Amino acid sequence: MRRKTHISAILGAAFTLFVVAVGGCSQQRQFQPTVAPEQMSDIQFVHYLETIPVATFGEGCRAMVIAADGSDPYDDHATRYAELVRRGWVRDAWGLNENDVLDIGTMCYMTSEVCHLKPSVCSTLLGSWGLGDRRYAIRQCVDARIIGHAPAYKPVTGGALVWTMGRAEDYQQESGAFAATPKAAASGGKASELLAE
Amino acid sequence: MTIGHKQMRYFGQLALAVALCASAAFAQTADQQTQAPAVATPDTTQATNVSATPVATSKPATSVQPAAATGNVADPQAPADPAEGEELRAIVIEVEGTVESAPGDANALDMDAWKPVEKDQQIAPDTQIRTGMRSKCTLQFGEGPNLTVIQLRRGTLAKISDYRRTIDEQRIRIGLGYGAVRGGSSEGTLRSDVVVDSTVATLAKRGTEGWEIEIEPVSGTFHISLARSGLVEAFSKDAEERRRVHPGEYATDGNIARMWINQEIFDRAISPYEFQSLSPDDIDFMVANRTGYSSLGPGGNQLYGAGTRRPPAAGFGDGSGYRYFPTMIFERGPVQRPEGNFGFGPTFRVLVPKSDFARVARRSIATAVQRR
Repeated sequence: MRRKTHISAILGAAFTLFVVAVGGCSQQRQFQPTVAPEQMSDIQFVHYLETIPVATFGEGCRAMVIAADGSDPYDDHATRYAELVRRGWVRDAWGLNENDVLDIGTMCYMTSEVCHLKPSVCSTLLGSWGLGDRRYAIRQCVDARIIGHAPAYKPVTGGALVWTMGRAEDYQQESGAFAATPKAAASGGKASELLAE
Repeated sequence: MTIGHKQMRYFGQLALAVALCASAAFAQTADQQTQAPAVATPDTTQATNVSATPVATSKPATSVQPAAATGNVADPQAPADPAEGEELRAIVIEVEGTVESAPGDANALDMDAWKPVEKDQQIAPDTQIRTGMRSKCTLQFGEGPNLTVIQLRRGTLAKISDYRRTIDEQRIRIGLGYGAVRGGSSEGTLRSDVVVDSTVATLAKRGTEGWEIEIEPVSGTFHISLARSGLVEAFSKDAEERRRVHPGEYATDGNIARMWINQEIFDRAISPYEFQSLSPDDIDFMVANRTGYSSLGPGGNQLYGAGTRRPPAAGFGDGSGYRYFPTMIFERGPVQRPEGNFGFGPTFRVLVPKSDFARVARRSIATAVQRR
């Protein structure tokens, strides 16, 4: 009887380990697009994001480069990732791969770096060496009205990523991060007047 | 001499209108005989105003000025039905960054279907337009006093579902897939009817400038705001609630669900009780407890504000005889609220004559002052 109990416990533990290893805690995105995103132009990539249910870390990196620089000059994820590490937008300690699911915390960390959001005291003291850095970034993005409240582990949909890109662009524009560009010629005086804020 | 000139101009316009009608009738006859395709419609502002007859507007037959110069182009493919109005094309007046267009049924990932949009390009209804990041596209609908300008902001996919003009109305329907659209309209001789529809929310414009709608359809997030003037109506398809957005206000998926209860309560603290339903003890209680938020009524027809926490200048200030109640306001009329009126209905207190009740109220206040 006791031996049977041991066997049941071992089988149960083995099954649990199997489920966890196969898919239970997998961060890989199962859905794969029909067209490779790296082959798309920037505008196609942005509108491709709106069609996907979950964004990956690699797509998030490219999206943030577009949000910050206006275009993505890198050919592959490895080059882009190295540049983002150099800029301090991502950390090797996270251990994220290209096809890993992008979560809210990671997206907010990159967004806070793109927008140069002012960190809090706790974020500076604790988040600077990695403790809760991405959760503090969520707080900063919420305060900047870029996103709403959400848990750090929540996967990011493609639409939410584009929404965040747009809000990050608005934030940069309002904070004067973009270089002053000459206004387009007003073909209709009333039209430009109507849209002026 | 001046009157003479005006008369001459009037007769000139009248003659022009008659000529237009005659040519339109002639063209109609010719069309019936030869089945020839219609030509672009006359679209100058003054000509439209003068000859705004069913014949002239419904049957495009002549061209007084080049259509492109007027900023308003009739679609030659469109049928000219007086009831439906003539179908027109929008003009791209500004392009910044990367903007592409495609037929209405094109897939977002179909790389061959999307073509770059250029300035002064005419956009027909049932055309999709998408913008990249740091990009925008401004479209002009109509001309002269009946001008509507709509701008597609960064990362937006939108479609001109319908754009036509009837005798008294300029109707524009924009389907918004995702992203942000802002715009403004001026209403002159025609009523401007603009609706931006999406799977999440709908924006209906009511003669306004500076409206904006931004949506994210997957999560159902939207943000509808009005910057300058006019009135916008926001309808949340998820919550099935509608709300009017006034200048300086915004509606989102969050606050439109909660409606006014989380927003207006911080602006005004209004007691829902009518004056007629207040007893002297009620007034004493209100006088003694004049801080804190008043409770909100469960619903009804009228709302009579009894006391608020407005600044002294708005209430009984120094020199008014009630200097001990600097924040009290007594309003005898109903307070109209944007979201509708509510409060208790008339009670037995309506049986008491108003003059008598006012006397009782004044006496109660005076008594409360003396007690203090």
